Amino acid sequence: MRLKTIRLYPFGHFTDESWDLEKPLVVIHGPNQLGKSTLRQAIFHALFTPTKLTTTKLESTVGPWLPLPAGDYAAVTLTFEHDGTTWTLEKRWGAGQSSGLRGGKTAIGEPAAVQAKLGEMLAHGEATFRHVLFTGQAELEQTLATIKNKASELRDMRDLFKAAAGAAADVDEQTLRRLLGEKIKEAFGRWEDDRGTPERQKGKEKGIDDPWINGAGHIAKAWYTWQTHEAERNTVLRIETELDRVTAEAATIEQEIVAADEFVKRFGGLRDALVERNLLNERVPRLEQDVATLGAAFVGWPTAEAAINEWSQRKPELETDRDRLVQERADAEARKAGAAIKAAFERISQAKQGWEDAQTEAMNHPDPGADRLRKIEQLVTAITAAENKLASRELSWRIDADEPGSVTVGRGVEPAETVAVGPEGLVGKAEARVRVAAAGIRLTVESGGDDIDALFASLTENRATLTGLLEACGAASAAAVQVMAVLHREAAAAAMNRKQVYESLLLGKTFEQWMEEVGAIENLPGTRETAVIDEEIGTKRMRLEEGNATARKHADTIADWKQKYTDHDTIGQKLLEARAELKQNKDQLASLPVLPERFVSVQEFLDRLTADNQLQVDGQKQLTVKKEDRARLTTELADRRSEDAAEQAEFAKRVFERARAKGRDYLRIREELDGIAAGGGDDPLANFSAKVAAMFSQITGQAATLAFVGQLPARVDRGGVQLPPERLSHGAGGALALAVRLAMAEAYLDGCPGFIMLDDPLVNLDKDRMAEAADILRKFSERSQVIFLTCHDHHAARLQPSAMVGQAE
Amino acid sequence: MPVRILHTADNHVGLPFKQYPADVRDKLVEERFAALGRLVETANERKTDFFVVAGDLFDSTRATVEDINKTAGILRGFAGVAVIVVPGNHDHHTGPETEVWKRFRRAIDGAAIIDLLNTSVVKSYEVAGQEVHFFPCPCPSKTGRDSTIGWVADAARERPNGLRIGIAHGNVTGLGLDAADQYFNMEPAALESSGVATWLLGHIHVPFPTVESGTQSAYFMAGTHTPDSLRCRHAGSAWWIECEGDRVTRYERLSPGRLRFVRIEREVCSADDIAAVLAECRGHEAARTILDLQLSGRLSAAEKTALDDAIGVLRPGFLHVSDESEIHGRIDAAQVASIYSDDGLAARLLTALLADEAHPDAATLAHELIQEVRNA
Repeated sequence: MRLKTIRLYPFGHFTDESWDLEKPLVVIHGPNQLGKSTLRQAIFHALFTPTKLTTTKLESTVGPWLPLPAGDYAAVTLTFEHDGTTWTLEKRWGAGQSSGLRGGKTAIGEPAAVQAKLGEMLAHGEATFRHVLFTGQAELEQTLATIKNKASELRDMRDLFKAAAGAAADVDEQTLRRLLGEKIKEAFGRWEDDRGTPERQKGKEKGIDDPWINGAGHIAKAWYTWQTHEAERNTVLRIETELDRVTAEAATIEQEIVAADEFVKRFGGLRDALVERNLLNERVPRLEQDVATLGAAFVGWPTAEAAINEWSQRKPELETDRDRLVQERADAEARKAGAAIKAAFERISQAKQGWEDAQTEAMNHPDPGADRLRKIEQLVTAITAAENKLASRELSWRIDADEPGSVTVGRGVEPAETVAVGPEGLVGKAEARVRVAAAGIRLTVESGGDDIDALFASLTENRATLTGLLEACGAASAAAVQVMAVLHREAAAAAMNRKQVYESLLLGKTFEQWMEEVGAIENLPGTRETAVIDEEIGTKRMRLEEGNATARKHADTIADWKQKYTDHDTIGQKLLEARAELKQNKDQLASLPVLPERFVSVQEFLDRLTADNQLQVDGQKQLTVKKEDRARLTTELADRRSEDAAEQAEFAKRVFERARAKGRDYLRIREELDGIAAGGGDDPLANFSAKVAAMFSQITGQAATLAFVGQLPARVDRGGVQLPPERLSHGAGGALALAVRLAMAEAYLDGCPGFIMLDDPLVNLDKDRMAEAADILRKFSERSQVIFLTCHDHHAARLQPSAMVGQAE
Repeated sequence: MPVRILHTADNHVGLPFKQYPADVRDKLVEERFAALGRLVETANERKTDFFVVAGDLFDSTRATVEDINKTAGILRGFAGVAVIVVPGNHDHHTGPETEVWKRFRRAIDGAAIIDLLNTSVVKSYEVAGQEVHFFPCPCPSKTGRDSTIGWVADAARERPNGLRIGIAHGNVTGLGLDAADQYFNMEPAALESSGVATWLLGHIHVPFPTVESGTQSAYFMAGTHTPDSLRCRHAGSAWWIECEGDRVTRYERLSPGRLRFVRIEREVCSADDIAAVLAECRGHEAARTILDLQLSGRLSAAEKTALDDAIGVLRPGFLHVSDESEIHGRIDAAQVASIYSDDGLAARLLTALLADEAHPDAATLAHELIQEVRNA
């Protein structure tokens, strides 16, 4: 589609205005108020907005373009060329709404039909025009942001590219995908290919016992069929095996019944006789035992009695011998013990002698007596004290006479004496008192104030008493008495000690008893060694015990016999009777039929016979059950064969495998389709990136290059400095946005007739960049119509030097 | 003077062939008898001493009286020393009451030449002054697992003189049945060490040895005497064996079958392939052949039509034809180039899929899908 003319009558602030749009590059140039945006909107609504609208819809779409202040309709007439035909599109919105499309022999008046026809001719949807082919200034600046924000729509763009390529010689990818999806669903419905089983339901397997009813695909169905045949095969196999088992068991039972029948038939008649034999077999040994017991008693009774008698005679002799030996052993023990007694007695005798010697020694040192000793000591003390006292009162005297004469001198308590006094005088000493008498004169001098006489009297008395006591003791002095006392005490203590030793050695017995014992030992007879005596005692005792035991046993036996049989004669009688009965039973046993071979005992035979009789009854019952089982299994098996079931299962498996292979082929197709969509060598978006890069490089005078991540420009490299698109200058950003827009438009149009509309896209470019961009636009218009709206003279001039304000050229 | 034995097994008289139409089924059923009759004739012509059936003479223990009588009648025609019949797993012997053998005994009543050896007891014969001992190992059930030949070694030692031949029925490890059919399994080593000149075996429907003739073999697998299913690729087989002294000296495979089961399982992708299939079809004696086509591959519409037409022409001549073929329309690079634009999605998709040898049908399926889209 290429636009030719447009008339707005009215639309926005245009009351009735027309533009010629027929050239490849249409430059609409004028000031800002010219209405470039109005014209752009008019073209958009003419192509995409139906005229039959609700009031609300009208207000949200064309409403802003109803003439102010009170216009109730807007109208546009657009002429364009498509496939060599010129079409006239007339639309009126609001009051008197109408649509009309005429071209060639076609004239359409119904709004929906008009839109449908337009859709066919436009090839692209409204969104494509809105986002790609019609670019306002604001949209241009937001190009990259829009692409980023609408990343998911990029895929839609890819689809659009391919749909555009989906001409007669190709296929529409979406339809192909939809159909392929259906095929895959038909194949894999309810099937988990990884597990090789139907899908589970809430974790529960959906096998043939609980199959999916709805949604099962070819594979699942084929699998169910296969598994059903496998189950059938297993069932048949199980029945065949069971039948084998039951048949074998029945055969075994039959064989056992036959064997039992034969046995019973052959040996059944022996039962009574062999029962009798069995009884006799038990009885005869018992009788034999009785006979043996009686025989033993009969023979043993007299023997036992004789043995008892013999023992009663021999026993006293043995006991006497034993007692003698015991006495000898006691003597031997006593003699052995006598040596020690004698030694002890020797020690006792020595102790006794020691004690007696000590007593004699003690008697040689008489005891002065404790009172006497104490009195003597007191007297010695008192005398010493008096003497000391008197000595301390010693008087020295001197008598001088003018003429020789004599004087009587009394010293102390001594009797006065008459002594001559010469010229030289007379001197002397006296204790405590001195009496001098001469010439009728008596002089008494006493020392101290005490009673001298009493003192001397006491002293004299004490000395006399002491002398008397010493004489009594036979001692010369008090010290001798003390020595005597010490000697006496030591001798007495020694005697006491000896006595204690002696008494302890007596061990509670008297010395006389010791003497008696020693005397008895001396009188003991001579004996042998105790070991020899002990051996003989042991022998004697053993013989006695054995003899007693034997005699007791014989006695017990005889007592037992007496209790059982009363007397010996009775035993004899019973023995005869038992022998007769034994013979009778043996004779009877010999006359009975013998036990068949193979049997160890009659009981074993009878057990077998009883078991076989029982088997004849039970076996038939079991056989009946087995035959019923066999009949049931045979009926259940019918004419089925596991081999046939296996063959059918094999066929079903083949069908399943084919279905699965076909399903996987579909998956393979989808995989390849996804691979192509994800980016093969002919990816139009890869080309898209290259075009963006080329145009950007051209606009920027080769000064900058672009790097992409995916389909989006990721950074700009300018002189080694790398910047993300959002940090580019207005100029560089505008150049990049224009390059992206043009590449997108080119990709969408892909060489087909069509047009793009740009609203002042060069405003941010400097002179050089603008010139390059203008060249690109001119070149672009050679392939697709470009409607260029601008309010900048130099832009218009650069693009089309003859462009006129408000007029298209 | 050699002892001559004809060894057959797995005759499966009474096999129902339920999957085939009545007329075909009748022919297949009758062929079981006819082939057995041909074997008896061959045996007689070759002055055979023993005609040995190593199990599965009948297809089941419920074989009909009619089938049994007919079989007995055929076997009565043997002119040698004895027909020896040993029960296999399909016609196993569980005791005197086993129905098939009760009926068989009645059917052979008075025919001293037929010996049913249904117990593991040595059967001895004298042929021209030479002792011949057969050691039969009948099957006691259909699905038993354990070999029944264990007793033979001791029994063989007790008969040191003469020719000793074992007869058993069951799988032999290594001969190829799957696990489910390995009934009464025998180990080759056990067979070889059992002290007999050779074993005459049945159960596996494929003959062993794999050669047509020879001089020594420790055991022979008869193979079914006439094909019984599509799994049977041979023309039916039996062994004719000569023994000298106590050993086998010569054997030769017989092919008594007249009907064939043929499964053609091929990938058909070109006119040459079609020609090869048709040639193979024509290579069989159609009137005696049950044909099962399992063709796969990719053909152009014209080729597919040509194939179908040719098969259609051949079909009436065959005894029976079943066709489970699945042949897709063919697409190749040239067709892609001629039908689709060079850089279009369809061309790229098909070109990529054509290169994928692991999924040879994917391109064809994709082409069909694309055509379905375009035609919608």
